[in-house]
Amino acid sequence: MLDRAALDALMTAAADGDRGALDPLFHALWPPVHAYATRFLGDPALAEDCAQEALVRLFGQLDRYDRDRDALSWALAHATWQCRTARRRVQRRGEVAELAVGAVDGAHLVEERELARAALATLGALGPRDVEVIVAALADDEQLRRTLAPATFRKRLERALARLRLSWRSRHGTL
Amino acid sequence: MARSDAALRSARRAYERAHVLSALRALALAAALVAIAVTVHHVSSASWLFAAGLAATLPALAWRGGPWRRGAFAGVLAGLPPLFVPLLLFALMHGGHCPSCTMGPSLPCLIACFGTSALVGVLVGSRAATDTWPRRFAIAAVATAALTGLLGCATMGLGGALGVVAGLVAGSVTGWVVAGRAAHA
Repeated sequence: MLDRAALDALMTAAADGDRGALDPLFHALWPPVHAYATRFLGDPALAEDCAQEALVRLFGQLDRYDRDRDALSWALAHATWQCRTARRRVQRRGEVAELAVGAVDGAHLVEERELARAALATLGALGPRDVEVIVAALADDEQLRRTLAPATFRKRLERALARLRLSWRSRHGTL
Repeated sequence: MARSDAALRSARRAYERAHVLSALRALALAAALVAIAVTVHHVSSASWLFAAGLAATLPALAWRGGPWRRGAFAGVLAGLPPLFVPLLLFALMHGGHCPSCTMGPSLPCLIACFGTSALVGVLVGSRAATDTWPRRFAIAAVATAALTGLLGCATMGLGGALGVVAGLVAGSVTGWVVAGRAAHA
């Protein structure tokens, strides 16, 4: 179980120039970022490349880390960007058909995967606070719920979902 | 596992590269400040000593990162008034040039150096009190502010140098204490 508060503390320490926090921060971030990229792309090799590139970029921009933000959300936002870029590159090369055929079995699964990808891409376009609250609601993450008053959490979730719907409509039409 | 090790090495390199770039930017800033000081002030051997100190300290703090970097760049900003106030004073009092000031600085010059340093010192102290690492921020800020200010005020000799250092330290402590009390009130 990933300790979000410890992760925030590690990222703050690394952003403050503590070199000793780099290795633990990386080891804490690699599994969730790698798993997220794998789910996003469905191609383990490409996902490893994207996870590596996302963390390399994140470590290069650590001095810009905003302590008020959730560290994992920021890392996943980097990963989302890298995955989307990689997917576009693959599509441009015309390798998307090969990826899809190799990774799924049947038209229904293809449709499901495309839907999941589109949802993740739309989610990735949102701000980290919105992603944080939606992920917390979907995963029944009690940590964020405990830090916020129930009414605040509900309002933040409503606003985040409204932005998610808007973003989805702008990309894919009506929901 | 080997892949994550390679990724870790790349991430560490990216982190260090960002810090080295920040140090290079700081070095360029120090060079620009020294160039300005050399252009507008009378240059003495002490000025070169402070210039060398700034060129070493500012990049080192920028490379260190975090509160050291934040403090260092805030200190440079805080050091600008003491850097330029002698120039302003010479323009107002001595018609733009004061050859005798190096040998025996006039009282208004010393007061101006002390006063502006104390004033920016208060701002540095109060800003440091709100940082996540107040001491590191304050040490870095006072060091770079003093070195930047000394490029200007030290041209008036030991009196000017003492004025800027004493003003900064006194102002910073005052600002820190006042901000600390306000936060606890």
